[in-house]
Amino acid sequence: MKCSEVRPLLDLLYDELLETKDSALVLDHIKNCNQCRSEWEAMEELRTRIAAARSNTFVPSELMEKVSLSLKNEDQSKRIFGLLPQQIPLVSIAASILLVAWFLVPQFLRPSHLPESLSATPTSTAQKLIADLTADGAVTPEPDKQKLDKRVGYDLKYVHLPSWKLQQSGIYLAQANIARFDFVRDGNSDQRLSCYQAPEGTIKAVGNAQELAGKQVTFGNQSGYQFAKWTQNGRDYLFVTKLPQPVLEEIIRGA
Amino acid sequence: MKFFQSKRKQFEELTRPYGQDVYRLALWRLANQQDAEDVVQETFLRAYRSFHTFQTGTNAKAWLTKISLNVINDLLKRKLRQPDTVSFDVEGDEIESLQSESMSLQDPALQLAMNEFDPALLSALRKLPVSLLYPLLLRELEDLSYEEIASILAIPTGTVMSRLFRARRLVRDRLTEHSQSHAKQKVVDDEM
Repeated sequence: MKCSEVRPLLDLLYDELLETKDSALVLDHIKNCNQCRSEWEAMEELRTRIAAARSNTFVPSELMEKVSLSLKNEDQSKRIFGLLPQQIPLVSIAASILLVAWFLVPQFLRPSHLPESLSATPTSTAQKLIADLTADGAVTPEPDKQKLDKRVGYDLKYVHLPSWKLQQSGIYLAQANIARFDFVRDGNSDQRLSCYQAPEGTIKAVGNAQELAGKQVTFGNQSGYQFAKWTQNGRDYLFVTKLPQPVLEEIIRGA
Repeated sequence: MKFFQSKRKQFEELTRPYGQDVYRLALWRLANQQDAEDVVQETFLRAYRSFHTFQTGTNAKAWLTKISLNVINDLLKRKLRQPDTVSFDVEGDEIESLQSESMSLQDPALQLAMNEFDPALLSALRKLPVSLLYPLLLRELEDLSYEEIASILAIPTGTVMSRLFRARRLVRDRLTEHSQSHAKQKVVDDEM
């Protein structure tokens, strides 16, 4: 082998990446070539020096204990109540919180007082409302219905209505005790309506009341029911209730 | 609580054996014992925070080493207050290497470290650009394979090999220069 062939292989030999046969050839060349031997010896010397220096490096004994402590502290900071005595299991803490919360939560928010869904035990007014609304429209399936139902806690009905039907919807809405209707503009004629009915007193605030601050909200009275109308993010909202107007305004404005 | 304890125990069992490796890499890179200890602490903390991303069965040492290099680089950036100068790029790291060298040479801890190790070797290593230094340290100190180094530094395996060979050559040349100048100085001293 020539020196020019051996030199590039020295590093591979150094890293023990050469095949046995090739290693033997290179080592054989090194034996008989002063220049390559010198190069190889320099490499071996480097390895020896690094190994010696490496063996002189010791991690301070207390350092890993510090690391363990900082990991423990990290865990403690993650706990919701990290300052509580560690003997109290998290389950006990969670149970206590739930118990206290149960007594603090207003009566109307407890599940036993939540309104039943329209489909499960429909009231006469709700039944009539849906029947009237769907007379000229079609109930349409909604892909995200279940998700929305879960979010609002009621059975939502989606109805496609021609615009003229929608114009008269106020009459039907008035037959519900408290109802919230969301209208979605869908092209020029068809409009989608989602609605739910809830017993009086169960709706205390509109979810987006904060966002309504400063917006134009129309309040009115029809057939003994108060209503509020507004437009937000391209959607028309109508809120109907038997509550007196000042209370309704308070609900809508989130005051 | 048990969840945290169990997770921590699992993490420590997996990573604790590599504390020495992380410390050694940091010390050789930074030549400052306090900085190296800080790097170890920060590395383990960061690794613990991202433990959920670690894939069981993969190389924990390589994973930890990658995090420690990030911690080291962050530390250097903070010290130098010149974030752009620390990188794996050759042009950038040439500057960084020189800057960190001049900075650290004034550090008594560095002097101590250099005396404890092998001053000529450490000096030769610290003159290397970072792009050459890291492959060398990962190979010689950490015993990582070419593939592992390539993965950690995000460079092709072929590049690891070529950088490693260049690094060794440069260090050898500098050690030779050092020993020659040392020998000349000895002759002068003897003549006087």
